[in-house]
Amino acid sequence: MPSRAKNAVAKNPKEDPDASSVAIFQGSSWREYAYKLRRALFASESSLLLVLVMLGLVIVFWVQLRDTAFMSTSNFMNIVKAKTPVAVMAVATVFVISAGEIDLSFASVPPVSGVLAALLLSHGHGLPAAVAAALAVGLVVGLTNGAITVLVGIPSFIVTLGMIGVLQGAARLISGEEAIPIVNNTYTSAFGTGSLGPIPILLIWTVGIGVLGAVVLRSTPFGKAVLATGGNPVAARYSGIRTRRIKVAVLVLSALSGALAGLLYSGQLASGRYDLGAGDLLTTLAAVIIGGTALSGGRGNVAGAIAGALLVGLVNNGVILLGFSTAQQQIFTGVIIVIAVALSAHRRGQLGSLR
Amino acid sequence: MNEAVDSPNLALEMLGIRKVYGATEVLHGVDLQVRPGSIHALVGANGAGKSTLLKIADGATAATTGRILVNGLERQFASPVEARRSGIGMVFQERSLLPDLSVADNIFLNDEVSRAGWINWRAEVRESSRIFDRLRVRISPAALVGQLGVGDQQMVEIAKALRLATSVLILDEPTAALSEREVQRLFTVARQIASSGVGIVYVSHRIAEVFELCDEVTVLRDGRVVLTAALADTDMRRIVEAIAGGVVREMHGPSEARGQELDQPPMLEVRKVEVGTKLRDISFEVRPGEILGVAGLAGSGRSTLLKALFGAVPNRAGEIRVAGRRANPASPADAVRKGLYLIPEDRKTEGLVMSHSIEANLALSILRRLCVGPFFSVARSARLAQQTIGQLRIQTKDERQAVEWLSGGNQQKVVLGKAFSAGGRVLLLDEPTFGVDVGSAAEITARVRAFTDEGNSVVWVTSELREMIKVADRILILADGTVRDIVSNWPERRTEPEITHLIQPQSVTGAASAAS
Repeated sequence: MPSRAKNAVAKNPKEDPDASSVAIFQGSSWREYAYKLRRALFASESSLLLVLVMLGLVIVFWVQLRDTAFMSTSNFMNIVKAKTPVAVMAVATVFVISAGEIDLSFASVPPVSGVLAALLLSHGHGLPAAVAAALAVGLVVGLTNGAITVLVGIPSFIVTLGMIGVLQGAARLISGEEAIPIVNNTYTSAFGTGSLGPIPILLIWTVGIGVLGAVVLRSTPFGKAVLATGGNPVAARYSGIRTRRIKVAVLVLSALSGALAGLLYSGQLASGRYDLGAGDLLTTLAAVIIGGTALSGGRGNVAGAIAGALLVGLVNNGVILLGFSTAQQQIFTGVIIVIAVALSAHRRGQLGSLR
Repeated sequence: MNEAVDSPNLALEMLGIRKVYGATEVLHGVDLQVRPGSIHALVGANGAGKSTLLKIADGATAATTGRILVNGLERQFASPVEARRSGIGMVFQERSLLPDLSVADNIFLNDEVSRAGWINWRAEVRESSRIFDRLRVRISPAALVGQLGVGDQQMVEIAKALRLATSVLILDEPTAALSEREVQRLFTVARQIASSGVGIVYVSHRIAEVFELCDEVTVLRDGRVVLTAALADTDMRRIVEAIAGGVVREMHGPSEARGQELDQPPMLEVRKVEVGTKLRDISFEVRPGEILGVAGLAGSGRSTLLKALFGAVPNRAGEIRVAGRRANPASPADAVRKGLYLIPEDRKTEGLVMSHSIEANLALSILRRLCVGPFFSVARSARLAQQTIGQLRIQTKDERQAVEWLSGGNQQKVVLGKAFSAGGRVLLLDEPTFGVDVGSAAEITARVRAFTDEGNSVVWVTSELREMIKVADRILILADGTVRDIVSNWPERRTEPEITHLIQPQSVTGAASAAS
């Protein structure tokens, strides 16, 4: 009875969810059944309902686009490749949001790091120097965000909002608003077109960063400290966790992931451009939230974020194949984010009423 | 008063109230009858169903089945607004006032006296003054709420509820944040309100207060009424047993070996500690095996003192030594490393990550110690959690339960378990039994005593003097941000009036003792 369940909770999350259903489900077994179903749909760690809706959409696309390339392996692989930078940034964003912070600037790092790497390569520097310089950009941006947030005490939201402007300007400045071609084959193959046997290198990047992120979040003291800091910063601090360091660390991770995404973009395109990864902020946040990471902090899901990135990619791809424009697809992503957040807020209300 | 008692109708009558949340039934047919002009205590352990019953009376949630009668008329509330209209007022545990508005604005919030769309502020001030006159308290309706003391804010809260509460006034733990003197004023006001024919429901964990103030008592346990009686016909023991279900264990007194340990070098030494203008010239020592009680009125700097020792406030001067070594913690993390541990005043906002499991909370202070190689060991952490749950008798399904679903007493035990596993030598307790049911409070006290019996030390801040006298070996009197005195409480016990007198601010000591 999912529809009844939905009606009952949709009324008012603060209110007793069973006020109306109790009368109908007098038998306790029925009530328990409906109750468990509701919890599975709304209260599980991943936002199962939203995932189901998205999968439903994919099936609709599949039916509609049966004769097109939508469901082909090559199309799916293309989506995985295209969404690798987003998946990488989504993994780091899970840490940031789980720690109760928010970073809006990570998606503005790729242009700077990508262009810088391309410039260095074109000036005859080697690959290690290019990669090191790109990652150094991430480190500096992350440390700056973190230091200002923690030392001055401004919300990371504001600090990183300002950082967007700085980064966008910097990217235009150093690129001269022109694409800088990359002719280094090792570079383009390591960060773009290469493959290890039959496996594309970009898939390896996605899986590698995903596994690393999942292990760190779940099974290291650092991950536990991140979750505690996001769940209740005061309690975490009083428990002896150095919450300020944790905050700086997640913001550094986030900016580093942006720097890596810049390498991955410039590798795929074989050029550094000031508009690399435009629109990724929205897509990445959507992926993370769909993946079941709570915006309120304290709960994170790395695998979910990667699945979210692929799901968003799949749906966007389907929308385009159905004949909608990129502009319409952007609107679609925006709507998805709001729905995802609304659903996750709703889940909390649902749980709260059981107290 | 007589006239009210003779009236055939009860002020509030709740009959056969059942409440089902999800698959669990939290109230199994509760009756509550409040006579007009009487003060009716509603007591019970955390999780007994008091809050749910109050929410139903207040219209914040609906009963699954059951009837509510106000002055003999059957009512159904779809919202708190409808409850107000029926003459039920509620003063919440959490303050609901807006600090930047005036007293009158707050009293009339959302129900402004208006003429042609403009607020008639003068009428509001006049009406507010009338209510305060009725309560016999002096508060200016034009003052900003944020500038009032806690006690006065409570009075504003009561005035706000009382404006519409013509039949029933519900007070939910009103004395929780009040000092002894403010409590007495509140009692006077409550009696004043009752004498005007309003029935008062008084919810409190402090049984002594109930005996001092109330006429009748209803005890809830596990969603059922286990005792309803006139207070004249019952005694403290019966009530405490009804609350705890007959499992009350004796509070541990100081152990017999205490005297010898006093010769040992101090575990905690505090020398000339200062924090801005809040604390000055604080010096004391705590020996191994000793509990040092800190008594003081609200605002005397009790919590600041503990936070200063824990490295949680900036600008601390002076020296802090633990087990003979200079500690001077620069941060809570530093303090934990050097053997200090704070049980903060508010377990929900400062002590626990509410949405996380018992296990995750218990692991917080020893994340690195639970690692195998670089990885956090889930098995070790689960084993630690199961042990702690067993030792501290935390009532829960398993260690994966989120702490937000636990009762207050069990939550506090989780905080305590976290502290014990951190392996510190000095425990700083800030109101550890606040809002905790009698049974859990006794267990917590026993655990802390067992901790000191192993040669550790405790600094125990509490505003419940009865508790202080029971647990402390010595009592530090904190007044106006400095140490007024340190008095022994062992082997001879101090009395409550003695301590009450000692903690009064110097300037009003005379006035206060004259008043009582």
